[in-house]
Amino acid sequence: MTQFDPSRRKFIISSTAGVSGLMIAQSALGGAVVNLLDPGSPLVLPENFTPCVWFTMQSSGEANIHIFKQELGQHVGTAFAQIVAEELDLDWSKVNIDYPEMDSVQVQKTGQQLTGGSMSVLTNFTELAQSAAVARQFLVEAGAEILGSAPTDCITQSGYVIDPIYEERISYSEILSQTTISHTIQPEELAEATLKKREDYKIIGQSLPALDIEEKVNGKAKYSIDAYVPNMVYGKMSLAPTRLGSKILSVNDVAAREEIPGYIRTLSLSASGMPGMGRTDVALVIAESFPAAMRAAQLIDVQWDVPASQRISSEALFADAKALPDRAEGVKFLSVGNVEAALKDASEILEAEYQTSMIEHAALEPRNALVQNIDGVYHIYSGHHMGSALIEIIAGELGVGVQQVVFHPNLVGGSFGDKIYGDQVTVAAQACQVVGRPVKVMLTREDQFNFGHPKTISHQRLKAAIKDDQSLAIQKRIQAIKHDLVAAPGSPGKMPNFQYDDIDSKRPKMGFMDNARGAVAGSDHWYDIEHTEVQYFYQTLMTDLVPVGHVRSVGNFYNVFAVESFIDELAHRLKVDPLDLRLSLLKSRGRNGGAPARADESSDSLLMGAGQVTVGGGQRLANVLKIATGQANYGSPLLKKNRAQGISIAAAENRMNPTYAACVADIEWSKTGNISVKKLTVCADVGLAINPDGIRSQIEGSLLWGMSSTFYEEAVLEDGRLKETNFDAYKWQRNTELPELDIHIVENGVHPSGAGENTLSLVAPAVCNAIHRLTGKRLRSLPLKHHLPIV
Amino acid sequence: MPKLNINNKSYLVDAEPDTPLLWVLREDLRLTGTKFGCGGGHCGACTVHVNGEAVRSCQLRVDDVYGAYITTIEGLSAGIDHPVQKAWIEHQVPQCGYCHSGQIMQAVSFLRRNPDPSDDEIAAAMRGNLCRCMTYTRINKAIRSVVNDTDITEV
Repeated sequence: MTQFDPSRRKFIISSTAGVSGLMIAQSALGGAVVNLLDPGSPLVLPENFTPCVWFTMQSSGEANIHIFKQELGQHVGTAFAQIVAEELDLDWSKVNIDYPEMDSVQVQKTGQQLTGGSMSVLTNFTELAQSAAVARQFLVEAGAEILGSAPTDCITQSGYVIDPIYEERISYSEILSQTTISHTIQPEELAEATLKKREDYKIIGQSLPALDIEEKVNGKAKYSIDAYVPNMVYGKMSLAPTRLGSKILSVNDVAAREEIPGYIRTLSLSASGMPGMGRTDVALVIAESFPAAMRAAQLIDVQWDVPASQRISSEALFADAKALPDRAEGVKFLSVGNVEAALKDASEILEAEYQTSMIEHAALEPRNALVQNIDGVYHIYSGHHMGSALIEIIAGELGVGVQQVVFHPNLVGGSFGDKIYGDQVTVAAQACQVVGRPVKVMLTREDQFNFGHPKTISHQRLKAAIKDDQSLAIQKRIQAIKHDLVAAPGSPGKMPNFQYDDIDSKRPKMGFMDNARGAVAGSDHWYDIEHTEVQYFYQTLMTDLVPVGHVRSVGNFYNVFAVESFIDELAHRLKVDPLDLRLSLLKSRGRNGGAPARADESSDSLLMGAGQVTVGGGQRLANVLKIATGQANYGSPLLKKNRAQGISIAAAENRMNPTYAACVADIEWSKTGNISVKKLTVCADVGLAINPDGIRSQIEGSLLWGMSSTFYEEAVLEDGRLKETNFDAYKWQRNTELPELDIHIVENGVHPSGAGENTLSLVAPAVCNAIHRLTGKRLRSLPLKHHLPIV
Repeated sequence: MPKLNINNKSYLVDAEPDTPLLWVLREDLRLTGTKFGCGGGHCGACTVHVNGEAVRSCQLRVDDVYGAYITTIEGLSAGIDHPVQKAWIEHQVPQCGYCHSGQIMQAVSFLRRNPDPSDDEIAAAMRGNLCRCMTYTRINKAIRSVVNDTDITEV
């Protein structure tokens, strides 16, 4: 038994039983008297080693990585575990992941937990790696003490502390069986952590099988919908005739009372997806079983007050969006140089308008939530991207303290942004409070369509100033691009905006604009254009009618579509190949050189574009574009006459997520006029790939999402509610007519970045650019099903 | 009380006769591996086998399947050792995983009837099983990896 002198080090390593005094007990095993202070006793359970909130090591040698992110299918747990296992030198076969419950105490330690923007690995990598590296040092010191070695002589390897000089080793399991290390890693220790060099990585960079796959192929995985507690009742929604604005006048449930065994009552409630968003009245039909609730819901007669102002359809919505820039003041999200002066001074103007439709999340698991009150504490069993915020939101909804709400995260059956919103949790919590029993609210697919938060429509007007320039081979220069963007925000909140003196300034004068987070994403492109302006027009009619939300790739989808289509249009006007034009504009001038993270940046300002780890931005985009076009044999004269290629690039999310990607779409034009995508060649620079196969999997999904959004997806507003209510009417990509996906992952960056969304937005412009090249038709609105066939 | 034969076990069921089999499986018997996706037979998340055929359990009245042999994902293999499940792991198919009980049940029944399908036949068989994570390319790779696997046809 090793005794440690705590005074020798900042942290405390002690004998296993951490209490004073002698404890003698009768052994349950054999009647002999045992000393429970003897760590060698089989009856003494050593304490686990939990130096931080992110992981726990057991004396058995097992390590549990605690994932405070929502698992959505992105296998974030596996990526986090690889980061920790690498720096802790864990034996990968003994690594487990879990998703701890969150309460107000836990949130103090973890900080706000948001799963979104493909930001998890980007924003957590450093702290996870540093925490693991510090913990590893603790184990080295404790192990060295037991071995009688000097800590500086010892190394670690796959769960062992090793003294290579004396050829001795001790496992982490043995160390933790013999000692208790009770110390919480302090922030100043994190800063001192020595991280491994990239060339020494053994676990990071490996395509290890995801840790949560097996339970997803045998039916054992527990999703939000699989939560059950004793004595619970079920809630089925009866929705209003319009998505927003209707009020319940009366509920008549006589028929349900008489005819449906198990029917309990119907509640009139008010739901909110997120504080600051529009609220929706719902009638919630409560019954002992879900089938009974569904039957009862058909017999409930709810009278609604429906304001005429809500009875709007998509056509009027698009007309409003198109006219908005001419009658409203926009907010300058980005301003470089003087766009208006450049437009006046232009020798030619090119102008184009683009339009995109609402897109549903259509996650296969409709939203649901179970809320149970145990001794005054409300326990939420659900899936949600912002567990930490959900606790506050539900406490506010119920009028209770935050310490009276606990969130138990279950897996979610797909989100794509859907489960950022908590309408169903607010309803379940309110119902639980009223009914006095646990309530499980489940949306049917029909409910999900008209209780959801689809992507906003967008209307965009781009205008370029072209000026004669004899110094250039093509004799013309793109002097300015003005981008007017009409859309609606997916969540309330402020967003930084940027004003630069000129193209060579690196740091903007920052201000803040309301309600634009996500909507403007992707509009801040990396092309070196002397005068650039993005003006955002918040279409309030959109959010008056539908509480639109963040849907996978958010604003990038429509902004990258517009920008990358427009660049192609400019190339066509200038009579230069679109690849050559792009490369000539990706020279990383000024702010387009990117910027490192600054030491003075708080976590809040991680969301501010210019300060992120975007070093080399324009150059990295040029690199991936060269690789993708090279791999795709772009420009080959051997291409058949009914085939063409189109290209696009994307760097995601307001420069806050440094993933850079390029795409070549190979398309074919059939004799009947149909367009089919034969192949998508994509190169993505993710900085550092934690799990390359996991990234590949995310990119595969993103590209097919891109296909789906480009060709099929469109949610139509009809008289204030979504016309499509199930997958027979709302069409999306099936397992048929899939393009070949040729994906190349490169790591040129300084920091790992996200892969879940960035490549989605490449597809629409690459396909439309190819269509233009092949058919001469420039398609400026999505989905393309309205333009096909092209004859 | 009528009985359901599920995964070679016999369950007493007390449900309204028109209750969809899906809800009996999930709510009454807590066989939650079978998933609810659309309720209209459009997505395939609720696919189970009835007498060996892949069917959408949201579209079946429970009183139509009394006496039939029903297999759910929980009954496909004792461990996770059905060749199709193993292929799904080998190719790291699932992302969120929600649709894959249905995908796997659909693929197993299809491969039993057609052990050596063409790519077009795979597409025709699988087009009714939606995956919103869009793992389709991996689904197809996994299926192609087990064509002519005798362990599938013999089950």
